[in-house]
Amino acid sequence: MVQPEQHTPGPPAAGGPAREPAREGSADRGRGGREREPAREGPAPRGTGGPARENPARRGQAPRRGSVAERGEGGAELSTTPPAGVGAGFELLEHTADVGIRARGATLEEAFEQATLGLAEVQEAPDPLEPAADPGERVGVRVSATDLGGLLVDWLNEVLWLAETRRAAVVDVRVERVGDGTASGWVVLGSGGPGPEGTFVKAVTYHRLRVEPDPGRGWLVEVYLDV
Amino acid sequence: MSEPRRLEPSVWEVPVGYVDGMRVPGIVFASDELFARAVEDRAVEQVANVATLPGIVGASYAMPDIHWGYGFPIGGVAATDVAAGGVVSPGGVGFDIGCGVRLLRSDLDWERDVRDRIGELVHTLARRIPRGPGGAGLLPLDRAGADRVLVEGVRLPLARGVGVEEDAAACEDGGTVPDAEPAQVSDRAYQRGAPQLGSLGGGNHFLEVQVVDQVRDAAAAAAMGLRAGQVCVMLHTGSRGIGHQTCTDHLKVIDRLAPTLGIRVPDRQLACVPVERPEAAAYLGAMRAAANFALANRHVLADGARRAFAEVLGRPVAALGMDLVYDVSHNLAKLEEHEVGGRRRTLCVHRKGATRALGPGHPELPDRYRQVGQPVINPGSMGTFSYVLAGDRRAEARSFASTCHGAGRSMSRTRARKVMSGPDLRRQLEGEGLVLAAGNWKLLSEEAPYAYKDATAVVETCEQVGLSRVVARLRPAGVLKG
Repeated sequence: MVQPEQHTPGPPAAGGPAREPAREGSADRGRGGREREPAREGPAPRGTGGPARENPARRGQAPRRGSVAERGEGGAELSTTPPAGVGAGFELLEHTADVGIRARGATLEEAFEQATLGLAEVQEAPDPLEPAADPGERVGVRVSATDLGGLLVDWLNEVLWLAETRRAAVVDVRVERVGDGTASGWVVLGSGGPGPEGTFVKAVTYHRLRVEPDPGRGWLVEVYLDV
Repeated sequence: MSEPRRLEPSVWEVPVGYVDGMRVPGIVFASDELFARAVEDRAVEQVANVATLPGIVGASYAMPDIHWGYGFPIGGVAATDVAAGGVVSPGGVGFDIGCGVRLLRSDLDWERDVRDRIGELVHTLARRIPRGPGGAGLLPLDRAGADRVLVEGVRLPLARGVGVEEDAAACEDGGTVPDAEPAQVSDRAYQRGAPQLGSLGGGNHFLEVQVVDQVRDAAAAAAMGLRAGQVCVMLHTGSRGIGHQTCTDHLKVIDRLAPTLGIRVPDRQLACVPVERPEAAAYLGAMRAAANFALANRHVLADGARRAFAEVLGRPVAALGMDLVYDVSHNLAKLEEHEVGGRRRTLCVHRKGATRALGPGHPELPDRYRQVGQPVINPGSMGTFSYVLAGDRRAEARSFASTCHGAGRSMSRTRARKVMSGPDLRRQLEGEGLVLAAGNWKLLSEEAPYAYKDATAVVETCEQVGLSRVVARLRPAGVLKG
């Protein structure tokens, strides 16, 4: 039976070192990617999915990527976040052998982003390194498929391929556009590979795949990973 | 909805009508308890879903280690009649193409030779055997090398002085799956997998030092070179990134094509096309290439294990008697001849978490196993017994000559972690005398014994219904987790 493992955004750790997103000014080697705006005009804080699992080693450290405190000193962006984004996030779904991701977003793009953060969470991408040490590399992603479900699977498989072939961890993501048979945007890949405690993901499956409007809330997606 | 019924002890029928569109019934080999769990787990629904595949013959089968998979159940066997529009479904093989198990015997005695050195041995194995996500293997390949391994399987490492000739003969398909088509393996798959030859990977993959604990079939054990008290090495891994990407690539093509051919499946991961379509031939050629990579991967890792033993025990590899008993895959589709309805037919037999098990006398068996049947290597969960089985002739009629592949999960990874933490499990297993090495202690409990079915119940059910018979039981002494 599918039992959602609820993820609630972790509170910003008091006193934890505020981290810059670390992507600004980083070389854009992607295909058609562009520099990230300092303050995104968008509906929601991304990555409100909190830590997937209890990780005592990280307790008290900086919040994971995606929490509002990550961007801007002192969580200044909080006040600019429109309420439409409330409810954006992801949760991991139990499966006897594998693991599922249920993600929501005010827009399709945001739901795709949340699903990508879910994938990163399963892989347990390390907390981004100190910005000065490694800003990560932004890589453009563009996939095409005949339907939205196919786009989500292809998008995530592309991210997985990039991370594995570069032995890198996904530390940030932006989905700029989903529609007309393509999904495009970028990911930031941090060096050093997925965390030592990460689950190795073999592939993204079509099993019980869902991409559908979430009445009153935007979009809901569900996808299962082979681990 | 029609309900499943028990046809005979440990044989359950899932009747046509259990889900819409079934073309044949489902047959699940399971004790009452294992079957009840499979229903609860939704795996029985997946058995029924597979029964909707075009051209499926006989039944949609499931072995006693059945559990919920993605699309196909794990433990599923489905055969389609090629001449009657039978399909191939990449999901029926899965992403880890050619994943399987290899068992090495040895001349080493646990008490006399290894017991006092087991800590050092596991430590040395841990240092020598690459494992965990990504990362380079023991024999990373360039493009030309990868091209060869995809066609030649274990022949490539043999040509480079890794392993011995006898290893090839003790593999399913002689260590080389014929008709592989590397041209159907994408550049992306090469990039992902070629550097990984000779690496364990993560998840449930492992290498174990084991001790033969009980011999139950003396003649078969003798043919396999097994005796009580002897040290063995069992390893479980597959085709790494090259297989994962190959399935991903071809599944996308087939997922797009299937609806245009009027093929509807209850779960999109079951996407399939008739074997006689060019896209199916492309997939099967690529799948065989990935299966060759998997065979070569286990071959290279076994060589690494032999060298670790030689280093620790201070003897040359050749003096250890670490011969290959057998290497068998449990994720593969094969074109095989079987009798259905009184007629020989060419079937595309998918085994997803199930093992081919040829009975005694089968012409495809190597001479040394002709009398006793094909060895089947059945890993238990970490810290529990593993089994060596042999094929039973009755399996031909029962399950297209297939049997179980291991214990089979019974609990999700998340739940398994909640029952006990990795470090706690480590303490418990070490308290039981097991020596462990894991790259990832936190995730250790995902693979805890309590997260799996009882391997003993699984192999005994297989014996009871005539799929395979138990030859020997092995207990773990040292575990290297992927």
